Amino acid sequence: MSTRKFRLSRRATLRGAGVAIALPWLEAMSSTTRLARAAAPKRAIFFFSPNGSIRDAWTPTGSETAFTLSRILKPLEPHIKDIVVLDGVDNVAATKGPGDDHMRGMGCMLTGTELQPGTNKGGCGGCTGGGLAGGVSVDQEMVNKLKPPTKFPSLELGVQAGSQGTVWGYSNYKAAGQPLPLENSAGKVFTRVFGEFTGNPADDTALMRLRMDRKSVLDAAAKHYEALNPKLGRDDKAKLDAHLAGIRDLEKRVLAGSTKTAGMGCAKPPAPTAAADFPAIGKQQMDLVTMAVACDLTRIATLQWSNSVGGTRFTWLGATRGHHDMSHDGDGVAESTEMLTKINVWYAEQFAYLIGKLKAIPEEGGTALDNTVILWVNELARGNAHSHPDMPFVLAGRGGGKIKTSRYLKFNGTVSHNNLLVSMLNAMDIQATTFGNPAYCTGPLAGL
Amino acid sequence: MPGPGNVPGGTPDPGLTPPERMMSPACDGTTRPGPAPIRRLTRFEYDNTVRDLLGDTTAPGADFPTEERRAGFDNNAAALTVSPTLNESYLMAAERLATNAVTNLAPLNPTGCDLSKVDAACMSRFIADFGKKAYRGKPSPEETKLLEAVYAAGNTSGGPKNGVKLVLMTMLLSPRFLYRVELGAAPVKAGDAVVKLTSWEMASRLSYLVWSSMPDAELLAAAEGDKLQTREQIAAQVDRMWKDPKRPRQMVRNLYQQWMQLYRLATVEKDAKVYTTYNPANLATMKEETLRFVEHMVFSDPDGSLEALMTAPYTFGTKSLATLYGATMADPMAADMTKLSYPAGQQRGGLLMQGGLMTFLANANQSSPIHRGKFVREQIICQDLPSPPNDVQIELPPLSATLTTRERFEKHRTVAACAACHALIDPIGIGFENLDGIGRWRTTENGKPIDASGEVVGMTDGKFNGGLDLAKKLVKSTELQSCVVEKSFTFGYGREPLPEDACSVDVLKRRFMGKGMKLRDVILALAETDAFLYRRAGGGQ
Repeated sequence: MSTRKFRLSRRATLRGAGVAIALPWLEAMSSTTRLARAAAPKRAIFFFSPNGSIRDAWTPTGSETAFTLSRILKPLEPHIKDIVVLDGVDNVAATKGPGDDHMRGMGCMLTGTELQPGTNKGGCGGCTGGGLAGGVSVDQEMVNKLKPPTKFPSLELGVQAGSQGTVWGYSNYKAAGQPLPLENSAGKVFTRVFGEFTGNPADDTALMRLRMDRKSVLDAAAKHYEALNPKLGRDDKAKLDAHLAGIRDLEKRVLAGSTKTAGMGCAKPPAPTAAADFPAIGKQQMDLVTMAVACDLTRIATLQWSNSVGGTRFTWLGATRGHHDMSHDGDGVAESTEMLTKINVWYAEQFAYLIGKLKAIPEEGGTALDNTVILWVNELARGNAHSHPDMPFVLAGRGGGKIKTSRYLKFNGTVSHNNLLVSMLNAMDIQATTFGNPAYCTGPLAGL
Repeated sequence: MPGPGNVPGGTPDPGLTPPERMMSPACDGTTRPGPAPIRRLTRFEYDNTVRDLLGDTTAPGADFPTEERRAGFDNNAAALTVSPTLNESYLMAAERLATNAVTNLAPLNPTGCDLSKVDAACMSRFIADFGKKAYRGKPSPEETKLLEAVYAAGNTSGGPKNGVKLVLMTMLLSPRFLYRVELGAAPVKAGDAVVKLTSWEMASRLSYLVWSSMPDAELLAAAEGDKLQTREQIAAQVDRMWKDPKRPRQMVRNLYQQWMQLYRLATVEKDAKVYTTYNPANLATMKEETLRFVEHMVFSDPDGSLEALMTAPYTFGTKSLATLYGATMADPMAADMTKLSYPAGQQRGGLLMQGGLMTFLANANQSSPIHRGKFVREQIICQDLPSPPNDVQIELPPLSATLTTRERFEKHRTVAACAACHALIDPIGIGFENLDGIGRWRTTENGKPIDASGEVVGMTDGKFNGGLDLAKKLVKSTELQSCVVEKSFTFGYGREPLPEDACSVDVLKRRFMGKGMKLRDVILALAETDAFLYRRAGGGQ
């Protein structure tokens, strides 16, 4: 399938639309105009791989500005000027609260706060059972604070992400106990994100009518909730108020992005072909995330490879056992250490691919990567120890100048990753000084 | 179970009170229904409901985000929150469903007036009539106005059919459709903190309990006539509903599919080097095997008891399963499933020893006394287990050409750190050692005879020899019997039982255990408890 490139001037857009549709179109148009004048938007992307890393093969050598990447991070060499390797940051929240180490690692990863109490004991001996994450995740904090005017407030994409319905399965939380589901099917992501994207608003007359109809329907549905909710008991009301807020939010976004004109790096991508294997799906999802960002259909995204305790069989690397199984083996099991290293090298290659894709999107004054910050996260530091100090965090992108890249930062002592999450918020121009459980946060990550 | 504590209650309505409630020492002169959190339709219920409402069998729920499985089931009310993706999915599903529906409106509009023309009176009739089904109650005047307004907007943008489409979409997105809204009726005695349900609310409680779907025309008529207020009226509906050829079965299949965790069969992988004849196509057949067997026990078997479910010396399957089990096909020419009888020499029977469970409760290259023992503890006798400590390498004892599984797992019993928990697990799981990792019967392993004797530690008369003997012992245990009640409660009411539910739980137990432990009874008795017949006043949680 060929990729259509759209290059339409704003005048042409106006000419195409002016006759067909009157007021709503103009409303929508004005916001586009406003966007077009603004600098390229800032984006944040979270990239998750599970089951920890192999520290010796991960840690770079050298100084802050003159460093050599080790075996696992070697695939990032072409982008070394665009990354910050963060060595010694701890997921402190994950050492507290209920649940097993994978559960805590996963639930605290982007929330920086303890899990909710629950009945899930996972693999912990005698610990108290845990539930889902106990707070909003940093990506959704960005959504709440920035209220991005994009069609999708955020996108959560999975690559065979499983365990949905448990804390092992989710990176993102709207609020405590409210996980955001991941879409594992690139085909469905394409339909959802680009299904009605023509790149040429002048083509959209029929679509615009459909969208205006949706607005009417959502408004009428929302009014049903507004009439009912006050009659409900406290808990039920809270639940339906959240549902109502979601409908109102969706209503606001019905027209968002629908006037986007393709150009610069934005073009409607080809529909992905059905794929069943992990690497192929991952590449499709990364391509879609890149284009969703390039077309400003979203500014905040998560790509979650598998899930905490993920049992992916890396057959293409020669693995015969599942990832999680192997990650439990002791350091002395050379065969497993070698395979786990290979797996993390492979994830670094995927991370490098995503960096490369964003770098290939031209934007005013540079590339999309310059306006993006990508954080590579994991629910564990070391798989066999199930540890949370010295998490294998890597940042990429300049966040519109907020992040000074090409650095290797070493932190000593206990440095909580809540601080890193604050820095992520700051990179998105959110003036936060704390995030997650404030007990584990002292402000932005010093030196970043 | 501890007492109900200081929970505000109500006065029982004599017309609603079953004899078991009067006999139960756990019940007194106060009704305590427990919390009744508002319940959103699960994907399964959504698909059933749009099928019964619109005749649409496209099952749009398949595209919705997966529900969190809490307390073992996907219908736990507390877990059913709404994500932005779900809202979006609801919108797109409503649009597709409504678009399909307006291509043929006649079945949805029995009044016969012409919706393809602009006709305000016809539209109002449609909203009142169809709205009653979609909302499982009458649309309020306020809702009616909203629907009329959205019709007008749709008509302006695309003509009268488009107006109807927008009305349908709005209904499908409204809380009256997506949730089971209950505000309650009057209390039995003025000032009580507990109220009865309106007949409309009762109609939905009944239909989602017995059918996992919306009320049918008769239930809606009974609701409209306010004829769901007495024990007799409710019992008559339940009897009638149970005789529906399809809908109670879909509910029971959903219950057991989750309870027995048959969804785990979807991700099973086996080592072809060990299981050279392994056929992945059997996985789907085995799932259907267990569901077919459960359906048989609940609906067709003359006994239909817990004992039959746990010990029947037969199952259902295809030729492929018959070959795997060495079983005899009741109809050797059957193209589909037929009754399979295990050979006389096999001490095999009942739900637990079926191929599906034995396959997913096993490792890729060997059986698993751990998975099997853990499953029995957690799913069959409803006990929580502590899990292994973090620093334990969960590497299995290596495969051996000379040792049996029992011998290889000996370490779990001799190393003190392991024994604390594994003493509760392994001696149960070892009872299934006659079944290998793909559900085949075996009497020897590595040339040695299999010793499948074991014990359910902590259970009275817990020693057994083999899986079938274990099942027989379990059937007699209060552990299993209570677990059946607990699982049914949790699934039926979308929440776990609380101390204040002592009376409701006891009514269930009396109906189930007191009358031959019929599988059907424990489900139908769910319609006879305080938890079902009442709710707290003012929607209070």
